[in-house]
Amino acid sequence: MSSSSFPNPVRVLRRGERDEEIIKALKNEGFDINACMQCGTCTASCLSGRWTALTVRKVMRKAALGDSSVLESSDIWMCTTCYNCYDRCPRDLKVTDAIIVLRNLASARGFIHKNHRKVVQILAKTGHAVPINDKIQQVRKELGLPKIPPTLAKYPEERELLAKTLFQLAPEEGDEQ
Amino acid sequence: MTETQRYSFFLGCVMPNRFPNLEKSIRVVLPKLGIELEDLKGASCCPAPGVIRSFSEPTWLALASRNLALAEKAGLDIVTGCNGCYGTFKEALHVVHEHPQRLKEVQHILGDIGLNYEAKTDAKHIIEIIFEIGPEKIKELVVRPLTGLKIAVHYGCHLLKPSVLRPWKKTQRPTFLDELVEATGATSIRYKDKFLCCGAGGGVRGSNVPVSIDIAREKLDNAINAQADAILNVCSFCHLQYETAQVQINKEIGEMKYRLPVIYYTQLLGLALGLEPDELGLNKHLISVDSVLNKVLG
Repeated sequence: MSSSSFPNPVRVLRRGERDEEIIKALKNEGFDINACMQCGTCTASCLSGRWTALTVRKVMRKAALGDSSVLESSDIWMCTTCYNCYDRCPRDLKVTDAIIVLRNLASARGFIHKNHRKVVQILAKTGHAVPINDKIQQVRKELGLPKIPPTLAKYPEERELLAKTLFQLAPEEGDEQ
Repeated sequence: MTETQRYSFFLGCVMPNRFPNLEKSIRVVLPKLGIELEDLKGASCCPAPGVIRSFSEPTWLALASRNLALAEKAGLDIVTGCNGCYGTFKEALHVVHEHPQRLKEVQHILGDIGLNYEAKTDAKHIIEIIFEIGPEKIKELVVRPLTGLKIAVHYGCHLLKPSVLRPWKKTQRPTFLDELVEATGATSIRYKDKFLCCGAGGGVRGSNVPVSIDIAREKLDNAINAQADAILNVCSFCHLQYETAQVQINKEIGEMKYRLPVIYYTQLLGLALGLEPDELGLNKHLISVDSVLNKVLG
């Protein structure tokens, strides 16, 4: 039967066209992509799917086929990581974690939203994704709390050490999406 | 009261740096329950399970392990009042417990900054330690019952899921937080999509504000339609989402349509324990909580 019988034929990738890195990364995380039977429980449980074009079942299918377009699409970034799909998957696949794996690959290839990159840069600089500011220092004082919380905000020399040593992927690498 | 418990208090980012009023309420209420908090000095971002774990999982694991290692050094379990931080610590501990190789990698990285790490410390949510004390005990401590107050309880996702890595009874419909709310004398009301996410997590609030706000708006509408006096949360990020979403929507539509008070659990409990609103930071909300206070204080 020719694929034209179907309105939306699955694009089957030939050997060599497959992005083996996707398949390998998921396998390394203990995610058996072939165990997915495409039942769609993930899509049906998906909060973001009510608002956006994210269809988790399709993301899983593309990933299983090694279709690299899954990394380039913004769909994987629409997940709020609510873990409904992970909790409900009848095959006990860690679906949300798989999305995180795909996001890691996408980020390493430079597919990351500029706002997200900004958050990473702020974290590298201040030790916090949401750093303290003057206004909140004043609020803290009015509440009877120390103006600067006892976090890294108080220990600048530790902050530098952390950015230098603990960042396994530098915040400024790659192109912006 | 039972013997005093002691924990390393992990603040995170949003709580100390955006909503210190929640931090204040935890700091005044927990000692009343016999829980002592020791500051986790020099702690960083947890780091955020949505953005940072998505950007570079190894970086996320290294930073999370550093925070856990600081608590380990203090000889205490870590406690947090943010679901996101709770998720990060629970998952980061799971990764190194399941994969000894990952623990070795982390130990090597932390060794470079002079930290020892055995992954022996536990991570808890403040609601977990309050629930261990139990609703019955809380009832005994209440001096100002919040009778008649209708509360829309919002659990938040990472407090509950992934459920295999959480201590709660395995169910799609938990009740522990409702029980704790009702222990104060308030009523936990039924409302549509109670277990729906606030819409902030996973980096969605950072990259797709319209979608994120629209999800929050639906939750708020559901709570308002069920005649809630307030929406209650136990997560600084959910709290940020519900407060800032209302401010933003009001600005967009040009009227003060959304004014549903957003209350953190220790603020509610503090009122029931007889503490003053200002002590609980209830005077520092973006959306006024006066309607709740009028009902409670008369």
